[in-house]
Amino acid sequence: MKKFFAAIVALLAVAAVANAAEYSVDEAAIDALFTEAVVEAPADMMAPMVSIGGDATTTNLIALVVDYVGLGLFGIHRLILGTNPLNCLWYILTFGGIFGVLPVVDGVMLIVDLIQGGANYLDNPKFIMWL
Amino acid sequence: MSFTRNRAVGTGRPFFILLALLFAVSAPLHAQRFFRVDVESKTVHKGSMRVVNKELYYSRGGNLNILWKAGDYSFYSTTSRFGFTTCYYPSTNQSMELDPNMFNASDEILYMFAEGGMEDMGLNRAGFLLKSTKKDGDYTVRRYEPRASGSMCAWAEVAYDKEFRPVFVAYYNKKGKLITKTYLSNYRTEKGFTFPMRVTEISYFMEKNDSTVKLDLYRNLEVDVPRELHSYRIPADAEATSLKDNLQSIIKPKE
Repeated sequence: MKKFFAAIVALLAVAAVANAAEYSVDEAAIDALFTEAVVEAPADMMAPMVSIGGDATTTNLIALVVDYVGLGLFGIHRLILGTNPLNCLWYILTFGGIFGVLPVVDGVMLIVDLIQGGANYLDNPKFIMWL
Repeated sequence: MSFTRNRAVGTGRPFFILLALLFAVSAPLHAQRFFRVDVESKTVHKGSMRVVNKELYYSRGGNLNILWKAGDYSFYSTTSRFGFTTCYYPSTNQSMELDPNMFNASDEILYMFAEGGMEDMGLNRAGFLLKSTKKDGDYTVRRYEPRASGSMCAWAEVAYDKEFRPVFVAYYNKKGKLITKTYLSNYRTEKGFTFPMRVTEISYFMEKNDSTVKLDLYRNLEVDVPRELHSYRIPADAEATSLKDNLQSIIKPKE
């Protein structure tokens, strides 16, 4: 647990010393971050080859469930994906996302995205996210 | 007179033909360059670290061959110039084709630099256009934007040092938030080939409030030294499998 908190502190330190305005990074802070980290078992090391990615996947899953329970008609799934809140208004004004077509297609595209392990629809500002 | 002129033409033509042939034969030999480097790739996320060691072999115009090692596991991957990647697992004699979305040769910085992508960090090939250039202290900073709209990345920024080597690359989303930033340092030049031996990538892609830090430490850079793995070919008798079929054998190799 100590190592975990030390790693978090080091991670925050790295974030503090390396911002977009700087073009070089504090290499000592980076090295410290890796020194403090706990090495995962070799089996887990192969995970990136075969698994789909962490929190983007969770967000996609939640959005998919919300979409298919009916809240997709109001564009709530898009809010979860991080779109502009105004898009929800468009979903409502077009009678549930062009008469309910958009939530259905959005759901299919989210399933495809989940299978491919992508995060193509996060923070997407467009009304029709897959165009 | 006419005899003399004819003789001059007669001796000159074969000479030029020979010269042209010699040039045609030797040109590809000069263009062929061999690159090899070892890398220890470490990734930290939420205090946990993954370590993968790789041996990278690339011959210009040929395949990018990689020997991947993680703990006791090892396998080969070969990526053709057309972008198709096939993995080979010696422990099971199985091969598996990867989707280009899963692995791309340009993901490897050795390939990018060997293919001359150092100037724009492969952004032009990735569909970006140079929009502006500015000076920021000792650095020259270029801004690139995607040609097509609808991309998750709204713009990219590359900073170059005094010697015009890329030292910083960042990608931003439409809200101006950082997606990924990469620092390239400890440049080394070997037989005219300049390469960063330390690459630090800080990614904010997966989570909004946390980052993933990846550190690639390169060593044993070799240029124009042909090795066996430059021409590595997957055995013809390898059993072709799909990603789904091969899942168990990747994680738990047969004993």
